[in-house]
Amino acid sequence: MRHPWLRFALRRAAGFAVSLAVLVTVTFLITQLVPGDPVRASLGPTAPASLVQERRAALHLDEPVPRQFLYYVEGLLSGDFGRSFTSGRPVAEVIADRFPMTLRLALAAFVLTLLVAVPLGTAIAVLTRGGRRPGAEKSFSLATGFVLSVPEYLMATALVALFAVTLDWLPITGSSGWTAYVLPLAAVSAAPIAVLARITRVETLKVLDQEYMRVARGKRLPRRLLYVRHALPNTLTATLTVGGMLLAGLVAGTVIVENVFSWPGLGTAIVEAIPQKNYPLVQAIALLLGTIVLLVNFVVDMLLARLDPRSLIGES
Amino acid sequence: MGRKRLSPARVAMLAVFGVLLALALVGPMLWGDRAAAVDLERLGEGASWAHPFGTDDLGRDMLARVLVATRLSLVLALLTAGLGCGLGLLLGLLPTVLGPRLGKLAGSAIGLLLALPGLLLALLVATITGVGATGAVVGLAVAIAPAFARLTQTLAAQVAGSEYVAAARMTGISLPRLMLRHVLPNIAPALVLQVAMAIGGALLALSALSFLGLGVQEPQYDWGALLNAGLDRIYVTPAAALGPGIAIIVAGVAFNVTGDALAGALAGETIRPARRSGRGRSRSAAASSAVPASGPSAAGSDAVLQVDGLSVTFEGEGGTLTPVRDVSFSVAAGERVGIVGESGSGKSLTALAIADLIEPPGTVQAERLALHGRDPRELPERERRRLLVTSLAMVFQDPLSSLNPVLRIERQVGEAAQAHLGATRGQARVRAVEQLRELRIPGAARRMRQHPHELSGGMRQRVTIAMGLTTRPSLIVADEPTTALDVTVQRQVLRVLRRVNAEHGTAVVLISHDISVISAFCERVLVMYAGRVVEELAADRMRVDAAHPYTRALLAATPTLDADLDRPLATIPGRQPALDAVPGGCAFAPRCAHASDRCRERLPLLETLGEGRRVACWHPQGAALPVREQEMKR
Amino acid sequence: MNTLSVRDLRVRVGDGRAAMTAVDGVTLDLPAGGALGLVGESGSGKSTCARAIVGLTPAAGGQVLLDGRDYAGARGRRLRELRRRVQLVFQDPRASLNPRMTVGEAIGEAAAAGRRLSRQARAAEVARLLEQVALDPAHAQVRPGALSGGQRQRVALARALATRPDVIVADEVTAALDVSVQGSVLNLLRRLRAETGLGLLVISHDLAVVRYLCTEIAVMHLGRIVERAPTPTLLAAPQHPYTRALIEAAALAGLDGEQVAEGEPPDPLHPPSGCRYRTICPVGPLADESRRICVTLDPAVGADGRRHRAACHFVPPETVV
Repeated sequence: MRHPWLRFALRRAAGFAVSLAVLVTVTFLITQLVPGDPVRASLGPTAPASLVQERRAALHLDEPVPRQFLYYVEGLLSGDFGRSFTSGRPVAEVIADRFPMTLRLALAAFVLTLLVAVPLGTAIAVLTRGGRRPGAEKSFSLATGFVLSVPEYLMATALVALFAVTLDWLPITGSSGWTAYVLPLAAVSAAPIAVLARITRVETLKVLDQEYMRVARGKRLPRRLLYVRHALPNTLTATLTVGGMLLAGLVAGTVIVENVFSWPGLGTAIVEAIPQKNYPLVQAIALLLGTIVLLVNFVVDMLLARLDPRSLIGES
Repeated sequence: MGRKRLSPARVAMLAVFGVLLALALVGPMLWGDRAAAVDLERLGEGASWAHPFGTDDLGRDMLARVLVATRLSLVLALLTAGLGCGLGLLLGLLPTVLGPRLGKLAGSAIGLLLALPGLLLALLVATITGVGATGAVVGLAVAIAPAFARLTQTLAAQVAGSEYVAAARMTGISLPRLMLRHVLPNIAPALVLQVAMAIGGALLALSALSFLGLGVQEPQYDWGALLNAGLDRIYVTPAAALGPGIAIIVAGVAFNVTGDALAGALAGETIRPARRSGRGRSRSAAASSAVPASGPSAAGSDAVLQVDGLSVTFEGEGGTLTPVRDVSFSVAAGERVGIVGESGSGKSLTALAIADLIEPPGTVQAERLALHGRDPRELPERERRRLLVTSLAMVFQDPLSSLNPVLRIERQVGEAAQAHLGATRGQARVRAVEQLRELRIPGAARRMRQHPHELSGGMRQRVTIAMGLTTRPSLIVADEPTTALDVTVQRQVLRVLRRVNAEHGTAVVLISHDISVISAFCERVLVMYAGRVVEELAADRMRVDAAHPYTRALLAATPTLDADLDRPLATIPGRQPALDAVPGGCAFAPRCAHASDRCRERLPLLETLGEGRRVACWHPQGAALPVREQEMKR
Repeated sequence: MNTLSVRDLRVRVGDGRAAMTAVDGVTLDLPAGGALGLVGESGSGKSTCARAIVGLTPAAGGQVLLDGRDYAGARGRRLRELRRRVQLVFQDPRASLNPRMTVGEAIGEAAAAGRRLSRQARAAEVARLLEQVALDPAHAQVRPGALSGGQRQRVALARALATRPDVIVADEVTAALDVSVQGSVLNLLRRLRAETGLGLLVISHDLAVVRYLCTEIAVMHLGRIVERAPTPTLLAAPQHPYTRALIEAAALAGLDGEQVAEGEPPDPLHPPSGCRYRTICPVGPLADESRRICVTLDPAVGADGRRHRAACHFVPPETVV
């Protein structure tokens, strides 16, 4: 019985590898597709020709494209992402500085989203099932609908204006202990919580209406078993399915929200790097964020396969 | 399929939407000068009468700038959405156009793009094209495209594979006509909806990029750029961030709600499949009032199940529906009783009510509802469960959906014994294997480790039967247990039920729409129509004894292997009344050839015709003694 | 003279590991104005067979002959000609009628396909067809959503009749209907055949339905015809054990009998060697281990040449014709 699972895992791993290769290629292509000379573009028209030449040589830009690609991949494999155009620091160092900050924020937001949205969605579903408490259902859908219409950066700005500026309860920038996390976290998680809570509610309602739930009720099982053993794994599979999408949204949200709070993470770094045409840094950050999302998608698929044996079949 | 009613909130949102459009058209003309007027006296002011949202760092009026920015914000959003959706449409049609091999490749390419975060794609494109409005538009268009491609792909595949397209192809119409009349009208609404949503999404995403300084650059400005400028001064003059913020939120909500409204209108247009039997939860007014209980049912003291005056009601927004009305019957130990009726007759709900499985908003009323003489509703929770689980097992129509897809068979079959008989997990497992073997399930031990999807349909149904039997109940209530199965498998399942009945004396209540199945399996039959029992009779005398015109019509309409081939099959004109329109008299009267005024006015009660024979009809037919007719003459 | 003949039809469905031969060498003959029933359970390939005959699913091999001309794999004009003459009616009229077109538009479109019809002529034709299926011509104005299941199926039938076909392939046309209206569709099909000489190929899982409509029955199991005979003969003296099982099951006879051991149903993706029914057959190696021939030799091969055809090595002697 291990057999189909292994096959599934291998196929998914292969898919992950292909996606990763595409991602690597796409990030590599940035320097190739920039109109004109990327080094000249980043240093500006006044930079001395010798400096431009030196940089070009360091980036192997004078060599044929396939060879450049080889250098690029080789660099990636050895952890060498090149040097920042602006500061001259190794990109790997910059990322080592910045990444933990982003990771902390994104992970905290992910955990918070799961902790709030899943119970909330489940509770609303159980409470409003079969048309009961229409008021609760209506307020829930209004509230989540509103949150969904407000983009993260605006949410962040509004939170700052309210809690940091007007009420002066919380700091706006700088990481002075846990209080610094409150507003960014709220801004990043608000929309994902709304999305996930809505999905969880719908999925829970669907599961509770399934015949097998009725059969389980027919066995007169205690409520705990009914919900934990019979309902939860089925809602979780549905919730997990959107988990990957959710994470992509979280990464995007983090990138944006970091800029509102001057959070020293990857988001602020990439947003600075783009207008400065600091290509090595842009490449590295894009690669890192993309890889994380792909990796999480892969893990989610594996988890799904463990939770729901049906996902192994029906794969063409 | 009328137009969907618009709520006031939606009307308001549509109005906001109109205002936005109007602003985009005339804003720059009306306030362009004011928005560009530099006032060095009033740099970065807060809110005032002259400048409700303050001024920016060059003293320009923020309100005017927000209003003027509407056009650029909307135009860029339209461009982005148009470009993205166009790209997506092309990409999405590739799998259909390219043929199976290349199409599959295109499909996986779409899947790959979908896995990458859209913002990342947008940022990368913006890096290549350089910072500015063009980069932002192209970048976001690329980010939108994959999702739209996937939708197009799915819709095209769905519609192309639908039966009405196959049917249209059958008529031999030309390909352009097929696309124009059959395919496009059916996918266009969903695509239009998606485009509308994409415009809203693009508006927000563009303003996000501008806000980050990666979108629209000076001297142009959209809402995002204005907000960015305002944010720097948020400590000093919060109002500066307020103007563009409000504009973005209003636009965002407007697009969202408009999208929802569109989606609602679309959903209203498509035909929904008819409700499944007995699950009626429609909400509309019900007229009928409670009716006095009919005569007592034939009930011995050894009855496993006794039901008197059972009704099931559903409270809805529009009123109360009563899909089961005043049903009375009993089941003796070891007896096989059938309940037959069309979908909507209330037979399934009757079963659920007996098993105490009606859930809110449904409620059960009964004068008496007793298992082995004890009414579970009067017992404390713990005893109630014990009584139910040891006296009654339910088997449902679709064995696949009756089994939990994520749990192994051993868990599902064994858990009732574990929960109620105090068995350990190991004992429960032993009990489960025993039960599977008893039902002659081949390879019982191996089945235990399997998941439901690994079993065949007939095997699944036997597993669900085994599941109910582990607690050795004295009654099985099987609701359409073979309807989803092939005839040869149906036979196997019926034989399993019959054997359990014979060997353990387990009583069976079999519920079916198929009168042949019922009459072959059962000893006694109850015929239900529009929520009531209309006739009760012995199964083997059904063709002789049937007195109710409905029972007789049902028999005559069912094709069998020994029916007279020279006579056309009977049909019953009209339809069973809807739950909210059950007539006051006999519910069958509108379809009945023998109906009189009395039938339409007065409800016939279920009265005893003889031993085990009851009928609810003013004009009973056939060889049966026309008891009522005689009574009437007296 | 046969109107419709199917010779050794093969259809493959699915791809990758799920690929299988759903129809495997099916041969059928439908005489002009005749009525042939194709009976089988889910997964037998009977519906795939119907779709392949009218070219909705590509055939992997074999012939579909109309008056001697082969239409298998036909495209364009020839495919349209085939479909005009052989019309398929689907199981669920809710799915096979476009929800956005009125009854009149749907029927009129089919009536006007491939020929010129004035507006009035088209309306008259729609009215005639609706009357032919016993519906009020006023129904032309409504959409399918407003009709009952039986009415919708009769609309689908009228649309099929609009191309003036020689044969109608009816694929489970009553399976989605309530028993109270099933009769109306079945009676109508019988009347049409009697009145217009329409040929009928009836695909169904229900022997009683097929018996009511058809003069000859072919039984299909796992992509193959296992037995074929005139209706009364087949029902009275079935020779193939699968046919017997079907008839017993349909008659709901002998529910009390002692259950014999049963084997695993065959996996359609990997059909067993020799006879495909042998893994659950009550007369095959499961019951009598000496019957190795069922494992080694495909009975379809030796079945030709008998008048009452049954693809079984162990046809009971007393029933051999």
